[in-house]
Amino acid sequence: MHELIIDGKPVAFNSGETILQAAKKAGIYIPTLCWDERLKPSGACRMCVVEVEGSHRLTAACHTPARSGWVVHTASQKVHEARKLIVELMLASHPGEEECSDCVKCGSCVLQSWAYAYGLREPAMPMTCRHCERPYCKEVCQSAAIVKKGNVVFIDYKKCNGCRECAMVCPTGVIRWDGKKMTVRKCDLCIDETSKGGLPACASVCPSGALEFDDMDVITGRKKKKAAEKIRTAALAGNSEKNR
Amino acid sequence: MTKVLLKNIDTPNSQDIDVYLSSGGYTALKKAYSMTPREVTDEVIKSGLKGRGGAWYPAGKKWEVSLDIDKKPKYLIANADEGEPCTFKDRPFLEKDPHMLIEGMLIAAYAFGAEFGYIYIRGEYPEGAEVLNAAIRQAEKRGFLGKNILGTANNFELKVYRGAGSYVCGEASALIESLEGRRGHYRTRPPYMAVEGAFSMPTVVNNVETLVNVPHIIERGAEWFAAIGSPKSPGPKIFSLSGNVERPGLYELPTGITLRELIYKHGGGIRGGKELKAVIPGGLATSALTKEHLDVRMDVDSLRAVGTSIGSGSVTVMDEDVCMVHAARRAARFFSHESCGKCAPCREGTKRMHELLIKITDGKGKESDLELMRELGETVQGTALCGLGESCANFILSTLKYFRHEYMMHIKEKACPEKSCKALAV
Repeated sequence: MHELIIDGKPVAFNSGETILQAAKKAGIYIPTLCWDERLKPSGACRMCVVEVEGSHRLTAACHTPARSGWVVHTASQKVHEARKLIVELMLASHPGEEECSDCVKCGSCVLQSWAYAYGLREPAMPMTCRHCERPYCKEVCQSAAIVKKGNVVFIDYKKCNGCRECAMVCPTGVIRWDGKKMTVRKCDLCIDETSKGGLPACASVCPSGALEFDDMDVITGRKKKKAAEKIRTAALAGNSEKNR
Repeated sequence: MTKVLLKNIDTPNSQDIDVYLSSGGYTALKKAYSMTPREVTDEVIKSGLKGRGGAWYPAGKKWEVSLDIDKKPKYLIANADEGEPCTFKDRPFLEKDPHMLIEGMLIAAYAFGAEFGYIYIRGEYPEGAEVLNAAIRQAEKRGFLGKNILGTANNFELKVYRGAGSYVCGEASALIESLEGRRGHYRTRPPYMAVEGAFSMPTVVNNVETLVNVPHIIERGAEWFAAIGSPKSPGPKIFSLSGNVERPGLYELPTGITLRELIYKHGGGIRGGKELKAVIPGGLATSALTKEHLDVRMDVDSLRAVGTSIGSGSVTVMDEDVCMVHAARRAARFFSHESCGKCAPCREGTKRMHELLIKITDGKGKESDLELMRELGETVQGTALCGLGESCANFILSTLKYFRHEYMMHIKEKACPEKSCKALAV
């Protein structure tokens, strides 16, 4: 067994293993696009570049064998700068921002997540309350003002003591402070209407279908179907061209 | 200095084997066969011969790796895919003195035990391919190629393979991919080519100019070779001098001569008595230098010290009337066209740099474009997959470093002082 240092952490590796394999074993994340454990590393995407001390260039982790005594940085400023530009270059000839949320890979795409992380694209996902399965806001509420009823998380404004801890833990940042009423506020999915089978106010007035009210699975299912249809049409068009 | 490598090229009918034999040809081969392969390899390592293709990796070290591997057959490939702009140093051997290359290949093959050889010649050299084929046929008839060469147990079969015209195929692993019938893409290492190269067998890829040095090292000894030129990268070197000089052409000179000597003494100075503006010391993939650097020595370490490299030793001279922005644009066009497209930074980066330079030379540039271009260039340098991608931004970045004022003229004044950029010609 040999040892190298990745992000200040000593990591053991067998000879022949790449930096990426060593990092994976140690639970250190290095982003990759073209790498697949079933294939020979091709080194094409360069997302996995890391900084090895003493080298003037960056090193691709996926196909460079680890060496004893190396000191590797996976998240230094140099690495982030290079990676940001690589993502930017890839996005330059990639479908546009508005198509990102229409894509089947939306939500599980590495390129998308780094584009968001580096601020190269803005998430097209509407930032409304997700009504989490396990709402952190409810857990931290001191006065039991936040309750979950069915699928809806809502705030009982009479009970709110204005500590704002819920706003701090909210992962989507939708809980806001209302300075007039001296309580926090957030979307309650118009529970009065929706419990009776109606639409929330925003969706009921939206004239263009930008806002809709349905189960998440239904909406993503429809999106996937649309994408599949697109691929099918393209394939058919390709075939008819060949037959001609 | 008397010519060693280029001694035959002015002789009439120099391609003919009889002419080559009468000038002492193939005697080095006989001498090599009287030594053991290990002795031949050691002699070349001792001489300090470094790869002349541009990377300057010790040639004998490559052979040694292959020599120690017990796998057969082994391959030797002569890299004659001279695709870099302004480089034409291998051409005289391919067209005028093919037997010197064949002899060098025979000795190299003997040194690490290769039985098959290829000469990978660029598609744009049809004449060279013809000459080489004729020379191989002649050598086969005289018993220098084929089975039981010169009555010994050594076999060597040599073929010419014509590339289809690609810059990237000058890189050893891309060359092998192309030779095997695939797209010319870089292979990630390890395994190194000397261990697992062409057809998954140990393969050594040497530049033509490296190989033609070998017979002379064997014939005259490593000490003779090591005494020529700079001690750390010794030997005769062929400089292909081009651009705005009085006498462009090929010059065989020891390494370590100064740029000034090469341009003014041998090249006859700048054409028309003009001033020198910039000089590229080693082909378009190296950084340009200015007239302050004229006294720098042409060897690996001295050029590295001033932020460039000796590369293939192709010196391109630009006089005071050359627009450096336009030159950068042409370089960017070449590299974006020749990028193989495998790795993202080179494929996309070269394209965007070219776009930016078109924008600037069309008079639509902004000052922030220069910063973006520098950032792009440095990222491509730092992250590209292969050596060619790594070096593709060198020249463009050096123009940005030394001639920023010319860029500013194009951006601020919307004027090209040298009147090269058509859109800005007043």
